[in-house]
Amino acid sequence: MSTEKNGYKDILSSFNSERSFEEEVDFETQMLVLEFLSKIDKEMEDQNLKRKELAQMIGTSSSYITQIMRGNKIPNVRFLTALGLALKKRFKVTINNDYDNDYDENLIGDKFDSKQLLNAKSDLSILKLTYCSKKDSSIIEETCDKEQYYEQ
Amino acid sequence: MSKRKCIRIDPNKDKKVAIYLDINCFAEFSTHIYRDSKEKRLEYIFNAIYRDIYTRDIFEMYKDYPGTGTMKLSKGNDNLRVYCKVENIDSVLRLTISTIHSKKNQQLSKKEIRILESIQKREYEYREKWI
Repeated sequence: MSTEKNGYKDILSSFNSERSFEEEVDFETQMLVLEFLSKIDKEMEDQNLKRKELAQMIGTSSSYITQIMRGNKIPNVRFLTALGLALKKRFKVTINNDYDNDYDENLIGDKFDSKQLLNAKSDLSILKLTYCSKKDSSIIEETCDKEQYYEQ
Repeated sequence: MSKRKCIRIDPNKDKKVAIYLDINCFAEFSTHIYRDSKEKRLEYIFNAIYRDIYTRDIFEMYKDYPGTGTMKLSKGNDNLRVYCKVENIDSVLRLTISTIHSKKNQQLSKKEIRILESIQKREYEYREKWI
């Protein structure tokens, strides 16, 4: 029984591991791509379009589409646009603010071991980071140049 | 029919989706997940389900067998599937990992149909943590 209890703890920790900022960016990239693909997949189903037919329309192979749909490969934006246009659909981009509420706790990376990162927003060149200081729980806001940040 | 016990295994705070593991499937689940290093894949699938952005290559609910679904861990030779009971209770989508099975053909085999029918009949007692 104690072995099972330990096994249970292992399982819980497997799905609750912390990610560094870089890992979080990779993960969110996968999720963003998947958001596009889930809409493509739904549209294919509605239009009763086979994967092979869609592949022919955009000049690729059905196995490549399968790898992308499974999340094994990350396609570029041009490829996603081609999928959308082949289905006579155009993607719209929206930004929601749920990120702050849902995913803050995962954003504790090596760079932020003394403080908890609450928020990371970016425009083209600037990263805006909001932390909660572990010492006195005060809120700290920082901006840094994106290129400099990634060079660190 | 007595209820089977299952325990919550996901850390998701979003109350709209909760993922449980059938206690009877515990050893089988641990063996497959750790031996084949599928933790990352499963975490990816869980998050796709939380956000409702999955494709049929990741997670699929069976229209012909309502109340069942499958998470697709791998394709190719082993084609490992995690068969789940899917219930909507009090506006929470509860997925219970019930059976792990290597699917060999594209169509459902007799064995897979038996698995899905068995899952449909199961009733679960949901536990939030190990007691």
